[in-house]
Amino acid sequence: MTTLAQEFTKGIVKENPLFRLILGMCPTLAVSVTAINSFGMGVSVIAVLLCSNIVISAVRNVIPAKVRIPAYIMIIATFVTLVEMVLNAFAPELFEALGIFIPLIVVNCIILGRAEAFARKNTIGRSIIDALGIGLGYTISLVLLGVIRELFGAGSIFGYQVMGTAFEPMGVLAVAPGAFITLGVMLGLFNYLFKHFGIE
Amino acid sequence: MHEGLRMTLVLLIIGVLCGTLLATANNATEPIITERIETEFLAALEGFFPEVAEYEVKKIDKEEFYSCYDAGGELIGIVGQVKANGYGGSIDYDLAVNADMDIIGIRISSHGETPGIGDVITSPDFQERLIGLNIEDPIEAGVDVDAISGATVSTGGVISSVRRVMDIIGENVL
Repeated sequence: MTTLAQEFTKGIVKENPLFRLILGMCPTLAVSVTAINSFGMGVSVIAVLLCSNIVISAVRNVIPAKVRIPAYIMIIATFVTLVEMVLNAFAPELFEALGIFIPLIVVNCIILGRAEAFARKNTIGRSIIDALGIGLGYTISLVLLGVIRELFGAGSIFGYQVMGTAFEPMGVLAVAPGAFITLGVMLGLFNYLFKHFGIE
Repeated sequence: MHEGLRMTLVLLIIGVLCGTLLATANNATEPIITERIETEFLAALEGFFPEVAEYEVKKIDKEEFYSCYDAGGELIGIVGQVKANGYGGSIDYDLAVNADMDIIGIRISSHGETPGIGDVITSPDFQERLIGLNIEDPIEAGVDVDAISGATVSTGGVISSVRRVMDIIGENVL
């Protein structure tokens, strides 16, 4: 039995959703243009993942195995829509900042992946820890990608110019191919580091 | 219980629960959202024309046009609450035109464009390309307004919509 601390840190290192599980690629490539967008997406994912993990873990003994996927999708889509409506009505500033990322979460396979691989087999407490760990791991790696792409693609970090006027931005990093290039380099680097330090 | 029946029932119950939850949430939040959008629009209208004393609404093809008058009853401009076709569906925006038919302001109120790509339509850098143009100008992507590469559908959609809206204002409102 893994300890709760291991359950939490596995999402950040050993089962990092972006660099180890390679999940949630589509929204990742779309939003990692800037650090602040990445952060917004990360926070939205943590919120939805937490809600869906709790509910799916709570009903795990009720849902028949054969229809679990459509059941999960209904639950996830409901949460995403609910979060969108509540933010729009009661937290307009937050909605302004995160609103465009929220619909992208429905197609983020991390949420469904955790429901399938973890929440349906574990208690609510462990599912909460899992959601926080995986969500944080996703946010950290997404912000890392965002910082690299924004730094070399636009010369800034979180919107602040840091490269000076002599720097010529590499436009390719700000568009879709740049996302693949950065992600590929990062994957290679992390695979090397994992091998080097013997983490498996 | 029969397995097939059990699966159907579970899915049905989840579906009904989710549907009810969403309908309730929608009923509760929709009036608040509508009211906020209305308040934001009126604030934007006063931002475009600070001297506005009263306005008159005219509805043309589901789009609303607010003719703004100053305290002396003089027409000072028009704000259109209009739509453009973007990459991620409809883009709702307000276009403000003064009495000389110059574009004086644009405000994107809601859109579904890709974060980091199509959402440049909300940036001042893009909007300033349109501000100052007159109804007599071509207002055409690549002619007198540059679309933004990588976001041609989003920016081009706004530009062609501005042309259309200017024509509507020219024909119907003034």
